[in-house]
Amino acid sequence: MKSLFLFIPAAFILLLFANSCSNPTSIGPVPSNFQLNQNFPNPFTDSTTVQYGIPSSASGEHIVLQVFDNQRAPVRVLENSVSHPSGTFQVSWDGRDASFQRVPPGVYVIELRSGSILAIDGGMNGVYGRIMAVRR
Amino acid sequence: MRIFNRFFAGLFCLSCVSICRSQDANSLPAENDATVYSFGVSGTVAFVNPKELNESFHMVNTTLDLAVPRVNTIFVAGAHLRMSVNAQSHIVLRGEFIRIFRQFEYDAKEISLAGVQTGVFRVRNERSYHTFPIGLGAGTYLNRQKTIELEIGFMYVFSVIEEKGTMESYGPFQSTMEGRGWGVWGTLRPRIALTDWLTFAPEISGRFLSVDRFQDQRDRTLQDFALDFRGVSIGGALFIHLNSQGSR
Repeated sequence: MKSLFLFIPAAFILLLFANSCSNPTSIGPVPSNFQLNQNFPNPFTDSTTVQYGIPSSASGEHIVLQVFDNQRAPVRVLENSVSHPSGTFQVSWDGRDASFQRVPPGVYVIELRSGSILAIDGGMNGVYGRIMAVRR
Repeated sequence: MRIFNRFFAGLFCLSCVSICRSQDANSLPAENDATVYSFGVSGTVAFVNPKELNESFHMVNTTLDLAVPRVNTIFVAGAHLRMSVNAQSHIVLRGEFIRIFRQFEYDAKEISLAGVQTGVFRVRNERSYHTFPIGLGAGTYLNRQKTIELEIGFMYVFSVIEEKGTMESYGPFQSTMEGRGWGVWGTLRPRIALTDWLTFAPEISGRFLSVDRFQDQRDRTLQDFALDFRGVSIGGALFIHLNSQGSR
């Protein structure tokens, strides 16, 4: 029981650290449809920015913005919000995976998923995908 | 490559075990007469659906508007080394090779730091999936005429995923990941004797192989991805038989 009390604060600190790498910033008005813009710069070496838009019809829904590699293996979750507000946001990716290692040069896919879209799409992949390229 | 060294080391160890057994047999003349060694090669077509691999191709097709074909069938090349244990049964060492290759090209947007599109760059991508199952199993004839046999066994499997590509104006990229796993197989094989020492055997096999725990040389792991080869295969094998005194 004592070890459980030690574990909970440790996990909380780790989560804070993980989330500190990718805080979405609200940058614009509410779009009429879901948007996932091409990352910039592309290709990139150190860091790139992704802009996405959530319409008012999806306000408060579960939104996941995630980077996958070419094998469709998850590389990094940039945003995972169970109740995401509507609006236009941007988030940066530092080219590191979930264990904070730099990913090798190559092509990666970013995907925006929401609860309503997944229900329509039968749960297979996301609806929106954009390619981002990491260079040496 | 490291994985090939392991492959040949494993094959060498298993061959040593087999040779030791044959040397023991040579010291026992009564058993020696009954020992038959067979070497065979086979080619089969397996009907499989590697779910996560096909999902990755689906993702590529969806995001890039391409038509990379999914994997429904694979060709399995095999080599077999068999040694009879008695008149009805044998043990078998089985090595296989599976290769999947896909190649595609597309244009990606070149975006400046200010978010302005400055052009496009051509991306060429080649992916190959090499899988090497090594199996040890046992077989027996199902009828007194010795025309139908059944083999079952366990397999150790390792795979190499190699991705190569070039980004026009930005240079090449390459990554290699190695994974390992386990599997089982079963084969039902009618035997057609062509000569005293040569047999043709059409076969129907069931295979359950799963390779995961992929990682690269920097210990970067591939999460939530497995190469699954589960399914039925049909094909044929050709066996040469030798007994301990020479060709039969």
